[in-house]
Amino acid sequence: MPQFDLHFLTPLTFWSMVSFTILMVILYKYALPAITGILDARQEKIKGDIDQAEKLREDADKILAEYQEKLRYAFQKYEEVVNDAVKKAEEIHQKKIEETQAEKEKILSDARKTIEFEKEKALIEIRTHVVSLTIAATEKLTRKTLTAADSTRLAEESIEDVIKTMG
Amino acid sequence: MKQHNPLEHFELHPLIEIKLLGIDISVNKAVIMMWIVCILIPCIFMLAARGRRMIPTRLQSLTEISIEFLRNMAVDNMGKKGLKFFPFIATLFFFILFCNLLGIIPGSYTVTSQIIVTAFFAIIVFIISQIVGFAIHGIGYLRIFVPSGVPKFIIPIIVPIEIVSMMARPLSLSVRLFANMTAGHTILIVLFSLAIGLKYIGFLPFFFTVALTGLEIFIAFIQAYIFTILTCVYIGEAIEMH
Repeated sequence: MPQFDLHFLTPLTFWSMVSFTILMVILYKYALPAITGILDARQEKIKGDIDQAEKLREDADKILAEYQEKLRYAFQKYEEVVNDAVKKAEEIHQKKIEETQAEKEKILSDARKTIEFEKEKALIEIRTHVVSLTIAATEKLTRKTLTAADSTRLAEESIEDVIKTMG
Repeated sequence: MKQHNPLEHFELHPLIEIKLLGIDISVNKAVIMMWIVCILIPCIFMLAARGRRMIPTRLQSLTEISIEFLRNMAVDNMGKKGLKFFPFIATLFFFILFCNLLGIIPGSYTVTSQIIVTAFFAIIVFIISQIVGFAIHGIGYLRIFVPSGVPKFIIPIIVPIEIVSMMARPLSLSVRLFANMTAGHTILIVLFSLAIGLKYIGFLPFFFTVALTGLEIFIAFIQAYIFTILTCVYIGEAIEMH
């Protein structure tokens, strides 16, 4: 095999050593620090970003909690207001109903009183009418003038008859 | 049809003859490929890291992922102490990976198909792990040859076995990479010469070469990964001694 030709032992060894050393120095001095520098910088940045994100999240949580508290308070307030309104409305309603009831009662009793009064008045008129009619009729039939006692008795009887008929 | 040796591709020829203190350090194709790798890798990193974007481009993501991957590999196998070796591990991985990958390009040369190169890296890894072991544990590092819980009378047998197994590490490390690269390329070369040689059914081996090139790309990654993770394991063992 040509690889076992020892003619090239010294050149290959020498140049391997030289090239490898030069390459290692270049990588060690420039290339590796550049790459690891980027990696470290990125790591720092990611760490910073995560910290910041964490802080922002905490802030957001706090704000959220605040808003939830406010919302809860507002809801409570709203319920109070609505309940009040409902209660007031019911009160007003009840009061109106009572007022209406009272008015109705009053109108009814007034009406009843008026009817009673009118009835009394009518009865008195009827009575007067009947008395005079009865006296006149009796005088015509008997062709004589009735005494005071007779007319009173007759009138009483007639009135009773009339009242009976009227029910 | 002229029959030619499929291993001819692996032959090297000095392009520029150089001697340093009497030692031959002539430049050949493999050396030029090493130079290209040495230029290409920093260029890719520079392109990737340009602008230092927070939201990475594809290339930047790719380099970041590979660096993270290598760093995790180093920490997993060597612990936090192992991070000191991270530049070495990363360079080793990228160097082998690019040597493997560039070798697939037709007309180029696979540096890692030279056992001298793979052996050089394997020996370096071996030496580093031994130095680390002795530096951390002193002479007590020799206890690594005596696995814990072994009955005393077996120790004379087990210690030579452990020593041989330790010595076999650089050998297996270098041969694995060299053999994989050589074998893959030899098969590709054979199939290509068949594709050209067989006039009317030449398309059949050609299809195979397409599939095999895909496989070679995969192997390039796998072998670079294996070489690097074994390096981590060996150095990790020297650090933690289990």
